[in-house]
Amino acid sequence: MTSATREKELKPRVEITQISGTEIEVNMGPHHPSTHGVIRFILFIDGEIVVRAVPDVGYLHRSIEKIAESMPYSFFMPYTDRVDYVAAINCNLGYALAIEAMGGLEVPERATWLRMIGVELNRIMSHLVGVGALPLDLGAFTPFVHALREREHMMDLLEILTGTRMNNNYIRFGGVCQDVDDEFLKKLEKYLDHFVLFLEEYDRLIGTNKIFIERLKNVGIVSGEKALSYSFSGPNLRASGIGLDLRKVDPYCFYNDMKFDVPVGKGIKGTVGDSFDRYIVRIEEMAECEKILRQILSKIKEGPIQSKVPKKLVLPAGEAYHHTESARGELGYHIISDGKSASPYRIKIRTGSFASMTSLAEIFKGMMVADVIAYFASLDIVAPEVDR
Amino acid sequence: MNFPAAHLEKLAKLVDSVYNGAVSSEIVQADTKIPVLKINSRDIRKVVELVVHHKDLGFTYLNTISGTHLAETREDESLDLKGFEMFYVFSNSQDFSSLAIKTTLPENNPEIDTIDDFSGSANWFEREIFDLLGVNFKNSQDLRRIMLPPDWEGHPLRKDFKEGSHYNGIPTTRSSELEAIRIE
Amino acid sequence: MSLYHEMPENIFVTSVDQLLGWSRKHSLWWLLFGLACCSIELMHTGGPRADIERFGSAPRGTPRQADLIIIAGTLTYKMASRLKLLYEQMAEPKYVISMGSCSNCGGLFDKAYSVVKGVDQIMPVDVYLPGCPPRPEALLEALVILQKKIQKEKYLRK
Ligand code: SF4
Repeated sequence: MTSATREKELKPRVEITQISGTEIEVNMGPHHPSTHGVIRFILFIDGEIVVRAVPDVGYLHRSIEKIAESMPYSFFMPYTDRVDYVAAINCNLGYALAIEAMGGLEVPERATWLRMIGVELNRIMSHLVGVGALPLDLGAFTPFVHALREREHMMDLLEILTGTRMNNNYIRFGGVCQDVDDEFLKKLEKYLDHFVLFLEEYDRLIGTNKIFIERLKNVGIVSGEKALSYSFSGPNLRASGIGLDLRKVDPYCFYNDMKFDVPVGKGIKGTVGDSFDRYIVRIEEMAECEKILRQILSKIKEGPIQSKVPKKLVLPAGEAYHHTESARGELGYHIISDGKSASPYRIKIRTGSFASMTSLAEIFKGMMVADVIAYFASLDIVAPEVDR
Repeated sequence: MNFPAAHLEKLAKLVDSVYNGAVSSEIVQADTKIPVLKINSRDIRKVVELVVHHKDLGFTYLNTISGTHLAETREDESLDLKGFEMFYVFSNSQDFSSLAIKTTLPENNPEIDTIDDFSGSANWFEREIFDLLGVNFKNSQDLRRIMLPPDWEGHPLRKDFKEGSHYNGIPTTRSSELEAIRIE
Repeated sequence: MSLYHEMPENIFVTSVDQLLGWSRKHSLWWLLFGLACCSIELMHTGGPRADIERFGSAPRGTPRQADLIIIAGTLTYKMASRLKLLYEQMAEPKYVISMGSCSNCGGLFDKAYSVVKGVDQIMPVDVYLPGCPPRPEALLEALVILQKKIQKEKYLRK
């Protein structure tokens, strides 16, 4: 179907909603097989068309921000894992960088490299869940199993690097918790050789599938302007054609020295900013992560992995807003220290998923119910990042 | 991204010139990487309007809104008061340089004008603060609890929040059997 | 001559209880339901390496077709009534595995104001599985323990 015919098809649908005018209230979630975690929508539908949608979140609100106020800075690190369990090391890194900036702590070079390995591996794993769960929500189970298989390999690698499969709690203030030997680096390199092939195969399997394309193209179009207004960030914003990557515009760690491209949505199958763009941007980003990982492997050197950090860390009074590029977009920590106690006065966590959620009510309007799922899945939202 | 110093001066001048000194603003370069513009809470809409829509600024991207309950005195002199602190972070959509706007609200009946017509995401950020801190946003489109169930009482991120012993018949603490044995 | 001697290779002698237990324990269908981080490990248990389906456990999308609910993750007060509803919709006999510290006792979120401190405060639990998160192997072990329990049950005499 070309976009013109699609447009034509859309028109009468809207008119029908005006004529019949009977609304049915449909509840979707919080337990629904195709919501990512526990998120609920109340859809007011007329036939197949959504007239109005009310997203309801908070089913996984775990009071992480309140808990932070009751414990020393370093104790909070495991909780940052749980902010986004699919990309845990990313959240560790954002928190550690914010505290290090406030306290003026040094990080040894090797530790930064190791952090970057963890972060990029985690980013790939997270995007794999994103592109794997998307066809799952559209009714194809197999691609998800493929993604899980690759994730198992990467979890093995992470297990060597950090000691756990997920919720790694890997990063410490001023360093990382454990070192790796050269064997790991060799293993990682070997795995990357395999991963390139897998990624290509996966994209050929799904990205060229007619049904998959038809379900996603021209669905849930978010223009660049709208994406900015809804505070989109990360892959979702880039899919709308705005090439904004905090690793480029506000570099941290050694991202300055890394050569990588920022993939943006070009509307290859339909319009810029449609759901297919969000899929393809994630696929391309995984390829970029692989490039970054190879550069890290060629540059990493021996050295210490932990600098001296006081046991009882008391930060100077003041506040900081520090943001990094997590797998789901801008991850910002707003930290306030009162200068006296060893625990933060307040930590506010800004996450990409929360911002993406703000768009739902408006974008859902006028969509088919089946497209609601497609759009929502393409945003790659995880519930704990929304609710914290 | 570090905010260019030239921008900073421009901003202070702009705020002054547009509102002829009617809006009190003060730029503090706190130890955050981004400059913070301190304003009076009643001017929030004017300043946000300027920051978002002025052609030289164009901070159209709202990163986040954060709120804090200040209950205990903090060492930092400028913050030595009771009440609520609001912290808005905006970014420029071109180069992504950021800017923060900070304002304080009184302890009793905290209220501030909504900014949800400037950004599509502002409403949710405001709802979260309303839910967890109990700050009221005047003229908001839709101010409901977002994280907690609608029948929840209290605002948990306030420093003086006390948890009840039960919620809807579910005990909020777990009796430790080990401890019970020890006491016996 | 008895039937047994006529067809010596095709007949087992067993009690009905045992036969029922044996067939029930190998078709434990679980509800596709995840709450938090543990649900990622739950997904991996269904994935290619751990492959929970070799134990006869297939995921189901609706509680009405499920025998087993695996509570994988943190249960909040807002979610508690929904979970209860899901549990009540399941047909008897139904079983519950509480996966992870959070659903066992609140775990990391012991101090949280919005988290139920242990799922056993709202519904019965058959197997508690510690860990944060438990590995897929651990979840398989929990399943095997549950299977042993089912085998021993005198279902008809209940
Ligand atoms: S037990 Fe640990 S891994 Fe599981 S849901 Fe709770 S915090 Fe997450």
